[in-house]
Amino acid sequence: MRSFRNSFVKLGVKSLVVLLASALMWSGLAACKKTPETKESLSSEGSSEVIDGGAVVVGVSQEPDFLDPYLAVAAGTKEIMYNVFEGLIKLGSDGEFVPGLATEWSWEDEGKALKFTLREKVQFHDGSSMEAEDVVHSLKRASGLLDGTAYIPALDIVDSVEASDDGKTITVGLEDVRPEILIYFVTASILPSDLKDPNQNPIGTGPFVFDAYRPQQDVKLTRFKDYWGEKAHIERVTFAIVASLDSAMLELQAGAIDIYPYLTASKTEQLKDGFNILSGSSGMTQLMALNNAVAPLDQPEVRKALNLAIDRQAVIDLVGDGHAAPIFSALSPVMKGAFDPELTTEAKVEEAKKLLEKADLKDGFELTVTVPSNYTYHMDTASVISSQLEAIGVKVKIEPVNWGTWLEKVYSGREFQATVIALTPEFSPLDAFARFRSDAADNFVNFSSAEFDKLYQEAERDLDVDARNERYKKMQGILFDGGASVFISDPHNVVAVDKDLGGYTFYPKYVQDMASVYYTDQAEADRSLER
Amino acid sequence: MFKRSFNRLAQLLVTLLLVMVLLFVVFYVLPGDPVQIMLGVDSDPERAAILRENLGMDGSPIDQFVRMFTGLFSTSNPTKSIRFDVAVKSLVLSRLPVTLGLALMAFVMVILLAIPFGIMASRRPGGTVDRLITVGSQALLSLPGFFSGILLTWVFGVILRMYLPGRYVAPQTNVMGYLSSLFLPALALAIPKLAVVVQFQRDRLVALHSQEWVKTARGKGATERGVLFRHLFRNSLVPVVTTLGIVLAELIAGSLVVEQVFRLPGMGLLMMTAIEARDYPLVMGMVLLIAMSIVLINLVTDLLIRVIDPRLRKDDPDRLNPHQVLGPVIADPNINQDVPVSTQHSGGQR
Repeated sequence: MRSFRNSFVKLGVKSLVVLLASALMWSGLAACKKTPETKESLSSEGSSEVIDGGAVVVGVSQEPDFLDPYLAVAAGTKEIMYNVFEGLIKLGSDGEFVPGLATEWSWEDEGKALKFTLREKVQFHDGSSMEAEDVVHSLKRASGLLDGTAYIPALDIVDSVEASDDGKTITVGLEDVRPEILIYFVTASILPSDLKDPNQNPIGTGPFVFDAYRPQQDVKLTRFKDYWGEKAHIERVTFAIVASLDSAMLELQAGAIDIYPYLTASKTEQLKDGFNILSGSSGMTQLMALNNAVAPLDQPEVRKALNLAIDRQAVIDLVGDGHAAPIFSALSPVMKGAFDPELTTEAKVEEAKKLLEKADLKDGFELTVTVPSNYTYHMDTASVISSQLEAIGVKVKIEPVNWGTWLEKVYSGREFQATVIALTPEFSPLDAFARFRSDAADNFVNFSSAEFDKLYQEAERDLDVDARNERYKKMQGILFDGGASVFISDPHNVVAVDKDLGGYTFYPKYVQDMASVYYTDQAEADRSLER
Repeated sequence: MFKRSFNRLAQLLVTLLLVMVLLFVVFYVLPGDPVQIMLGVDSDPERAAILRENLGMDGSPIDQFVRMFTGLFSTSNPTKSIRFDVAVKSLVLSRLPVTLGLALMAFVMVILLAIPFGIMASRRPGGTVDRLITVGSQALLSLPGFFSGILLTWVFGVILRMYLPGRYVAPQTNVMGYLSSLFLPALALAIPKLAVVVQFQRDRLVALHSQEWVKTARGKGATERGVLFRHLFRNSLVPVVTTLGIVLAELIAGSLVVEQVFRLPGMGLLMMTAIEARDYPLVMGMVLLIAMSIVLINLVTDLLIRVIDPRLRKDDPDRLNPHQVLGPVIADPNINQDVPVSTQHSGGQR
């Protein structure tokens, strides 16, 4: 009949138009800011010159817990703040010790003391210079000499930290010989001694200065112009906290994030254009932990059987798309020299079945595997393992729990049969072995072997590195033969890095080193600053 | 009118307090200890004890509750979030611009789009326009927030490259940036709610179409437009406004999912982290704020419907109970309605 144009209908239509128009306008404004895509730039195809400048956004999935490096426990925090804080020693990409805030060090007093020569002309981010008293203060804090709590438990063995009169060297006295203690001087960060509340004001000596932390959003760092070593190439780093992998994928594809580590195999498929997919080890060890105190796992034959029934390579291929190295004990292959490459076996299903028969479990048994549901990698691993264990008659029931519950029930309460988790030990075999000692507070698998404990104590004190490595090999054998748990793999870090970025380096440590990253294209570097 | 509101308020405050106590008890019973979650796999009993003391987690449960509850409001001895080591009050309030901005923007979108479309659909019930709008809005109803969020991000961010996802700009920094960073999320949040309001508005208007007094008005010679604006629309408003109040409350609650997808630092995201970390002071602070805002919305809605429909006011001679106005409409659109507002005041039918 009649077409009516009354004010409300008009309003509705107008609203739609306004919405669309504003969307277009605002996107138009956004587009204006971008410089046109000049891929046909002057630099030749394939040139990888190192551009100075630019801003990089790295996606991380874990929220930092404390900015104070001594309070921080979450691996995710250390990953970020690695760029802000430094210790006397640094770790090279091959696991070798490299001079950091100390230019050299030596053992004194038959291994009971360490003398460090301090680097001169080092500045803190607040402009003050690093002096011996700052180092002394930080080391005392780390080892418990300041307030009774050793923030780095392994440094509890330190009983004195003293500076020389000229302030150029520091001597650390130990209660007992501990040749492997050097690694902890990588993690003991040096902060200004007069710094109040490092948690609000994280001042360090590293190549990047802490700028801001917005909870659940990001951590911003800027390049430190007065860094003592090779200055960083990029000007700004933003660590964007993206808990959801799907959101991260969208942001990667939209150009809002440049680097995202710990991807799963399926996601990398979607990122082939515009990204280089790199992978390397971070020294992690994934295992299906077995509670040695709970039946039927209290019988060593049963645990051994489980070890033999698992085809680790299959797990690696299915869950990690091949990006992992199989392990049979607590050490990761990155620990060269200590790691025993001979300790390896194929899956031996028949032998496993025989072992179960010996343990009077010919018909198999039921196994409950409790998995922290937030880790997809472990959930997938549990699924693959459960189908493998069916072959020897073990019926697996997967019980997903959330992280808080896992920590309380499984890790502290030890109320579990089996669980899948990854450990991130420091780059030291002793650190990896520590929790398998009978009296270790964190021995959540309840493993006990007198011989293992003895070897540990001996290795702790032996100054000869070859003798130590011999012991480590024996200890790995004990863990395997004794069926401490089913060690599965060292899951590699699969990283998507924007094609215009170079220099991304892997370390046998859970870190994101931003000082070595650089842009290879000037236009891209400039554009990145406008984001 | 004020006495009623005061009573309501008192009741709600008591409810709030009970909720707080219940929450506290739940956290005690739930497995998962906040200190242990923070210290994680490398925790040390000594460190745990120090942390517990710092956080005021010593003493009897009642002590802890009282200390924590009063600390939520105080500035001198504020209750701190276990996870983030800052005062709960400031942390929660800092999230308000996001959640509130998001909810309000989505709310405005719903009003601007749903009401006109509801009216359009009601002009000729069963006609093409009506069918199109109804089907369209039902389709939108089935799009959950995270799906529309991902879809919008993909279309505008990845394909059209018009939008950089994951960016939130605080209003203090740049107002335009703030509004544009909330635009797509607000849209994703609004889409499923549009259907509800469109349908409701349409149904309410259709119910009134066939009323005696409408025919009278038409008979009097009033134009369609006049009938619509002066009589039908205002009469349809009371239930619609009530629904909108509910929608606004749902928008505040529903922002959680959208905040996750778009990485906006709002209360929803904070709530999720707080629960995972068993950060009960933080959870309590947020529940308190959300509960208070819902109370506020209810009060405002109450006031508003009394402004729109004088029959609901205490001093009106033909005073009605809100149920009489809201009641039978939804069930049977053909029921004979009460005396409408506008004609009554113009001395119309009794």
